[in-house]
Amino acid sequence: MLPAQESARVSEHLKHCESCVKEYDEVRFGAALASHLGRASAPDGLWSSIERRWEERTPFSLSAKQQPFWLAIRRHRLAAAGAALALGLGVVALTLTRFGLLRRANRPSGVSTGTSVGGPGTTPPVASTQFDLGAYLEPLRTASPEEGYRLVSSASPGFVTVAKHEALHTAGLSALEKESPLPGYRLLAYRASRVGESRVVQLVYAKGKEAFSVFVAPRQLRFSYGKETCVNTKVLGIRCQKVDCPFQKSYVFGEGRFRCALVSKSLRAEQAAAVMRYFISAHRGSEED
Amino acid sequence: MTAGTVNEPQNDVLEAFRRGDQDALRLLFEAHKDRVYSLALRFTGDGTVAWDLTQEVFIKVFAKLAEFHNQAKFETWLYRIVLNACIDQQRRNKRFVPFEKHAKHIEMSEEPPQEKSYIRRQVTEAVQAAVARLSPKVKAPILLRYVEGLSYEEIAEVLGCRAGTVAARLNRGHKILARELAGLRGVMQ
Repeated sequence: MLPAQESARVSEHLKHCESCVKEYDEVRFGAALASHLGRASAPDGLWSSIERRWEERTPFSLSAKQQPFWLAIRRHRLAAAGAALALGLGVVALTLTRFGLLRRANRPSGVSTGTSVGGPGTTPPVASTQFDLGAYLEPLRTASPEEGYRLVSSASPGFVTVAKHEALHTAGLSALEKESPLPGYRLLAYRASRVGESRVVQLVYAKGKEAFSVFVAPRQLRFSYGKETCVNTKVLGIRCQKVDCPFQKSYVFGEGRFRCALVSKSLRAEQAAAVMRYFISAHRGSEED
Repeated sequence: MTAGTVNEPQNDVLEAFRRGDQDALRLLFEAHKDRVYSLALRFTGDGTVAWDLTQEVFIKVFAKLAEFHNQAKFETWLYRIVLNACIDQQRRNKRFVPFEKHAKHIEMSEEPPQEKSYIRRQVTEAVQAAVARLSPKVKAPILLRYVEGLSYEEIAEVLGCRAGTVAARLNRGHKILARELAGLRGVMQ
């Protein structure tokens, strides 16, 4: 704030100087615009991500001197308790499996019904801003190539078949002429699920005994992958993240207001790139919709 | 353990952290999450990037917490970490958001009362996009002033410059915003 005397002098000057009035007006308008910037609320789910990253990091990043004593003591205890628990659960699971009690619960049951561990409803997303693909991806780790088709084309837990036009519209694909990103592949299944306020679509494309799934979600929704993590990479020039698992070829990429996860057992790099390009081209400019 | 006031959470939290209180970091996060996320969001104009940056900032803060000895105000220290993380991110991955389209869209909108909040949101988005395009030198004081409500002196302390420099940069920022979003004049009046 200017002192009163100087303020009066400026006011007087502004009465007669057109260029200063113009500049003053510009600054005032700029300030009025900037005042629209306020605090935004941090989205839900942030803490769990930070906590996980911090937990992963602390044993390696803190020296013994820096490390809080409770970390040093409790980590060893926790690790020992965890190992004992895992061993115990392993023995129980082995016993149950031997008697055929776990077989159905651990295996996906087919294309039209729910898949994998526990079925629909037992694998809720970690938070309303996250969509966990873990239960869907987990069986792919150990699946044979023959099983891969069935697993990839099956419904992710909680997904139900919807009208085709509805699925394509939600996935931002209704404007595309080609129904499939790869020659010879056809759109086999189209499903949707609700995660918090958002809708996620699963599109399954198949050709013979090969299949891949693409999950399309609003950009603000983040994918998580159960035990798997992602690494940043480029596939034929396309920036994306690759699920860090040698037993599948799955990628996460985004454009406009969409985020997609391509899940496959064995798509070649050029095929994966073609699929990503297809979705990217459909979603380009979608943030302006 | 309590988080302390917003201005001085560091004493309680630091003490708790040193005592090995596992809730200390969570309390620190709760006290500052909106502050960090808002700055990252307004700096980058992208919610996804802001999410990642918020994580990155808190991991850095936790890692360096033991080295923080009240030589500066905690918030000043935090602001520097946030702004540095944002600037590094911008260097790594330059993003440009076309603000003209927002402006055009709003120009076309009439102003029936029921759409006022919609228009306000659109204006905010347009301003955020335009701010995201500013150079870091101009953007940092704008954000500290309008997102955090800091005085010129406080901004100067965070940025390590004189209050006069802050005023000059804010002035420059105001003019750029006014020119780039001139299409919004009708809507704002």
